[in-house]
Amino acid sequence: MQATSPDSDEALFELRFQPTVALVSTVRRFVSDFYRELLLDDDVSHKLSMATHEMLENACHYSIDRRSELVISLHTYGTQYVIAIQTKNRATEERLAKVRRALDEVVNAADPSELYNQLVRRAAKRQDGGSGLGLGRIRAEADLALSYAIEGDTIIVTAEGRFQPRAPSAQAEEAL
Amino acid sequence: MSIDIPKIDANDLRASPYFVDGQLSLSFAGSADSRSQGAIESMLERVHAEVLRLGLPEVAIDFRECDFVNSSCFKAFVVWLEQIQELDEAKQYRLRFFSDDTKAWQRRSLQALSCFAIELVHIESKPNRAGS
Repeated sequence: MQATSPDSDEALFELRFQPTVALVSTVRRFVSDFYRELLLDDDVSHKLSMATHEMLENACHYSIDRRSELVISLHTYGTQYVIAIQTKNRATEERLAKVRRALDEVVNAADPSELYNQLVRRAAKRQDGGSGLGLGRIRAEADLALSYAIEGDTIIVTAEGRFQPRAPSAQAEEAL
Repeated sequence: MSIDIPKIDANDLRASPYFVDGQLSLSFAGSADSRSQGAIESMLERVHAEVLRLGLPEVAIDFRECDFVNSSCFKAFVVWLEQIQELDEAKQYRLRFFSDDTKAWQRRSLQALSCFAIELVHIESKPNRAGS
């Protein structure tokens, strides 16, 4: 990984809203369309929109005041895109403790795929309506690293990944 | 023979059951988010009951027209597989998933189901029905 400064902010958007599941889906579609246009890569667009959806649904679930902030940024480092998705919301002490446990397990997993398989096995037995799969899925399926910070009653979760732009020849081939 | 399985047509998701020549299939189209979780769980419970009533060896699930499945809806399929695994071996049936070979996420997501119940899950990649 190069320790260079970002060349430029290619794109950044910030949204503060009271997410409902319907609005989360609207944001997911926007993120998907936005990155499809920008990166010309359907698969990366899906990874980013899936991660955005799972993070916002979590924020929806954990938020104390139903408010949430979403920031998505993209910049280039040499030949790579670096994309970060960040959600921020307030939560009760009990919920912060719960989400911290879930995040610690996913953030520290040496093998995200193996952890995700474990989470799937646990999900089969869960009776509380939750799946416990969203965060694990972001690491295992979207190739994004997760980190978090807790400041008072506010939790900030960040998913970040580096992607190589598709070669123009691959894009041209797909367009045929 | 007929089947008693409700369709889903709400909140961006359409899911339809088909029973043709003794073969049961489910076709999913659109996006499955938390609003559809309950409907999917109910549908899969009905499917499970009907498969056992009819003694079918397999159900086909076509995801090719699906754009997104969130983790809560994905869990409904995990729970379904768990229910099949809990059956006596003679009553267990297989799930054959069709994924669109142009949508890499489908195969990635379905792979986790295969890891959970490798003996029950078969995944086939095919072009979507529009042929693109």
